[in-house]
Amino acid sequence: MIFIVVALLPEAKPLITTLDLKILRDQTSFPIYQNEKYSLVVSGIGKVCSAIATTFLLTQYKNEDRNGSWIFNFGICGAPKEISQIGESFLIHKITDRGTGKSGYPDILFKSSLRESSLLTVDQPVFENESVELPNTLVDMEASGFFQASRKFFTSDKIRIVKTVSDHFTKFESITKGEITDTISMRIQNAIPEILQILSIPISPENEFELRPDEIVSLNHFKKTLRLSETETIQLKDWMIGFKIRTGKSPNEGKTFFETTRVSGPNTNPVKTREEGKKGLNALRQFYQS
Amino acid sequence: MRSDNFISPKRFSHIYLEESAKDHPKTTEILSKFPNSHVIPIDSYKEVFNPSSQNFQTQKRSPKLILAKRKEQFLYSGSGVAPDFGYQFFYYNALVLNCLYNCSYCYLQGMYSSANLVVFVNNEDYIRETAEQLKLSKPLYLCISYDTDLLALENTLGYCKEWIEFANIHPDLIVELRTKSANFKSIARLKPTSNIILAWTLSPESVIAEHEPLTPRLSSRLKNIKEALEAGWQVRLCLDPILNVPKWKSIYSDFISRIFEQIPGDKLREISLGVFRMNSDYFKNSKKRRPDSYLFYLPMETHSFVKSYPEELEKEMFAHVEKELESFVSKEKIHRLVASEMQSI
Ligand code: SF4
Repeated sequence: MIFIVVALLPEAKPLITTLDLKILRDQTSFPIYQNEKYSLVVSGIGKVCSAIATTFLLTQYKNEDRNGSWIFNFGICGAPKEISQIGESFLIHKITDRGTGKSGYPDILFKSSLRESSLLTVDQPVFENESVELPNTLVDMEASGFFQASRKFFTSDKIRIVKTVSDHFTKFESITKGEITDTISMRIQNAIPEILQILSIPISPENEFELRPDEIVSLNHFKKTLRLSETETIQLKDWMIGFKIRTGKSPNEGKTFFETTRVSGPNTNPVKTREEGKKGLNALRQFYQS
Repeated sequence: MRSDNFISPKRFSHIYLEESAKDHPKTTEILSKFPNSHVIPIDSYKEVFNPSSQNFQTQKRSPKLILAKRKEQFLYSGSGVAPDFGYQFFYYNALVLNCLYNCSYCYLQGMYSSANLVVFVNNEDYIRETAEQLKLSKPLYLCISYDTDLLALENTLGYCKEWIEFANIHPDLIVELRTKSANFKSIARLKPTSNIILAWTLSPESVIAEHEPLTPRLSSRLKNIKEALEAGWQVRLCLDPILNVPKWKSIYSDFISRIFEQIPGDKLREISLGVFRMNSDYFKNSKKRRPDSYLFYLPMETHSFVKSYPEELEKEMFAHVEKELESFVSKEKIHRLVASEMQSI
């Protein structure tokens, strides 16, 4: 699953349409749009809302298989004229929270055609003529909250942020709310190719060596018949995984060995004494480790 | 799964630059070698290097460089896990944290949360502190390539050259430069210095292929060693860690013959032997980070927080390897590093 956090519906709409996401029917605290591959939450403005919505989304899907999952934040930002034209999108490699002064660093381990930039997350909008010193970087109001919350669930290689420049710190006093909404949607609509480019880059696969369900059945069989303690079962599981990695064979092979050499003969009745259990465990250790 | 999208590991696509290191000449020198990298200012290397929410193995696919200035601890007293070769004053330093290579048994993956390389640019402070310590402790044995491979990084950093030149005028300093690289050429033009020990770690070719990805082949390392010996350098071979791979006996026998087909044993300063061993906490972390390596699933024993092979196997391994070695080098030159006699760091 790819998780997506966006501040405003006008920002989210172009992607919702492109990916054909459907709103979740359950009434949740934050609107969630999804299909089988993506889950998008609309957080509202500000780093606190972004952090809460991120946590909310990831907690909702905490039982999802996280292998292959990652999280993405995109939206509009302001930027000085000298840094960027309006409409340009950036991949963010550093987020600084203006309030705390703390920074976070998404790991960029992949190639993309997007320009990269740092980003400053502020608590109040920054406008030309109002502030003596305008920041010399991209500015948004959510990313630091998003990043901080995401880091509780994902490592920094699984967190990506793309921001599209919507203005040069200009205040839209003479235009209506509807026009602002349209402008935002239009900016994101134009940035969809860049957003899709980043969305299409898979994260690095993780090598997880676990026992398959049928191998767990064997483990449980050993546990029951040898009357193993929890610690002994964990040890045995470790040997079985080691056997699987080293030989490429299924640890189920140990079951055949076990049945043919078992101290009390080829039956499935539990052993009578702890000594017998220990003897059986030792035989399995030798099988798996030699 | 597309994997071609990952940035090549050698390129350092991103360089994090600590505020305090930004005006240092070494920083300028290093940055000039990576004109296409993104340089990202940071306050302290710890904010990039220390967070626990990093994926060590994924980062290994495209490690970044972190340039920083070391403020203190330019020398550490030697640890029980590494050999002191009989020197009373044994120290090591940490000029670089992490390594370009990615050996499956490496303890660094259990020690650090990040695979990014931290380079401390102020080598002159390390040298100054060592000169001070030398006034009190002679002879001083110093490992300068401890949590890294400094010779592998020589083209970027030039630190080996600086230490060789320093050792040249301080005969009471004995420097060990440990490496798995085949980068002798980067220091070949310097005057061979008798108190610099080039310590090459060697493994059988099949072990290199399976467990030491990214490191040079055995043949390249042997070629380097031959050149270094011919030029008059002090060379130590480190057959360490000896691994409990399937058919280890025949693999290590063939390996030893292969070494001495190329290297004259009598010219070597010494050979050090050690079987796989690791601080038990690092072992636990490494096992999590290397779920695909069976090395962490082999039978182990723990003594004083050091995990290693059962004592009997360790003895058998030492005896076997020593017997093979004795056909080529005198017994006095072979040093065993016994895991159960070590303390954890
Ligand atoms: S060469 Fe040494 S430090 Fe580098 S990865 Fe291999 S074991 Fe670790």
